[in-house]
Amino acid sequence: MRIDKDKCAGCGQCTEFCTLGRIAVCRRDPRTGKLYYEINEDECVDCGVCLRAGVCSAGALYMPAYAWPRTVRSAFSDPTVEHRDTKVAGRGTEEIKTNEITGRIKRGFVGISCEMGRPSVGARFYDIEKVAMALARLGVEFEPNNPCTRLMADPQTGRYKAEVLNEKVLSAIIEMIIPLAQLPAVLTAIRGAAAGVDCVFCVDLITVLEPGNAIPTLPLLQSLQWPVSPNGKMNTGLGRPLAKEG
Amino acid sequence: MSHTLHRQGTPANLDNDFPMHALPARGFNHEGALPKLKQFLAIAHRHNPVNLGDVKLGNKYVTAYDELYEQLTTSSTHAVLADKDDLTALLAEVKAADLGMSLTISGLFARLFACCDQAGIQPHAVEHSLGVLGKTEQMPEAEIAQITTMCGHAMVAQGLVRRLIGKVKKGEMTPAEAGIELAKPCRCGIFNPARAAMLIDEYCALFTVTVR
Repeated sequence: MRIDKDKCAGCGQCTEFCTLGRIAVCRRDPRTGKLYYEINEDECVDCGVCLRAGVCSAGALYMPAYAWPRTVRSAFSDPTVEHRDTKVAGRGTEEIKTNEITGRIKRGFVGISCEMGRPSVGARFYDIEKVAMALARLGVEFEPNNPCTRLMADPQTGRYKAEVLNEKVLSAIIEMIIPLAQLPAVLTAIRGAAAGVDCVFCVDLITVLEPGNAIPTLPLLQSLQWPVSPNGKMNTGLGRPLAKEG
Repeated sequence: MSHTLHRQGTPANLDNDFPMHALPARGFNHEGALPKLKQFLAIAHRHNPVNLGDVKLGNKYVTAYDELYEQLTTSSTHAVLADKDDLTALLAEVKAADLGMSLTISGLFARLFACCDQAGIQPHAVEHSLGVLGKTEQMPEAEIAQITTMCGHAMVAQGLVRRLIGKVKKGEMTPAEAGIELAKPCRCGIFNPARAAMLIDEYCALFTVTVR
């Protein structure tokens, strides 16, 4: 995203809509003395929120026609933009949302995601790669239909394509399905990788319920002293056709 | 993405917040899904939603309900309820309608299990938030994050929250009006403006809240 400094009236209203906080700075044109705002384009993730807010009466905000690899920024930051590979708007897959239909995550397995950059911080792919490589060393298989996986040069190692490493996105999701027994090792690796990144990330855990609504992951999380929020997400099981459990 | 999973707050202020989405699964029941999604939207509309939306059309504060209904796309259809009895009634009606669309709801697990039980629904799976790791000092303060995390795509900016708190404190806007302004950037319609209003009202009573 850019601001046309000749059109900018210097009001700064658009900066309040920045999803990453203050990445625009006010400058004064030394020749004319006019105030204008300038976006730090290297930090901007091209989410488009400031533009959609429609607060710039001067029409100074605009999204340039960026080329690859810059285009990954809007694909991972603006939910109205579809990924060219998956044709899905957003940053991950349908994870838990259609699981009763697809049977993607079965009993005895869990879905794990690391939502890199979330919340409100953003992440560069070189940090995303650090977490992915730590997980790859455990032999996990990354979700092939996830747009973040599609940017890996080698999903066996978690290494990303070199040209995207410095690109910054609002969030990108590393996603995998693992056997329940592997959960302690994977969570330990995630904790270890978190110490080496210059961003934040949320961790998600998907579990198919046992009879009586028992949640088989809770005892493992307690043994790892891993805090669990009292709120979360539930698939109500109303989708049809239902998946056949293997 | 996990969308509504990481809403931050206390059990007390999360107790009236039920975002949900109905959606088809590609390759399974995507074909012919649109009338069923429209039916879901109509059902949700009858149960006092504080928000509704479709990522391609926007939420009910930028696109009127009738327009949302007429132009709904075959993607994820969102609604937010703010009352457990409304949620139970909606679940019972969706079950009776037998739409065959997946319906995911978020909230306090104890509350969700109870509402499903009352509606005669056996849930299939749960997704837990295991928190935020890494350089958490880069995140906005907890009071601001309780509001911004209500948009899973992070479209609600911390700067906007701070500005609107300031406007409410100065009496230029009511908390309810601020809640609606904050809901507008969240395209999908999963932001809860009623909860935001309640939180802002609470923050405005405190001198200790930082408005940068």
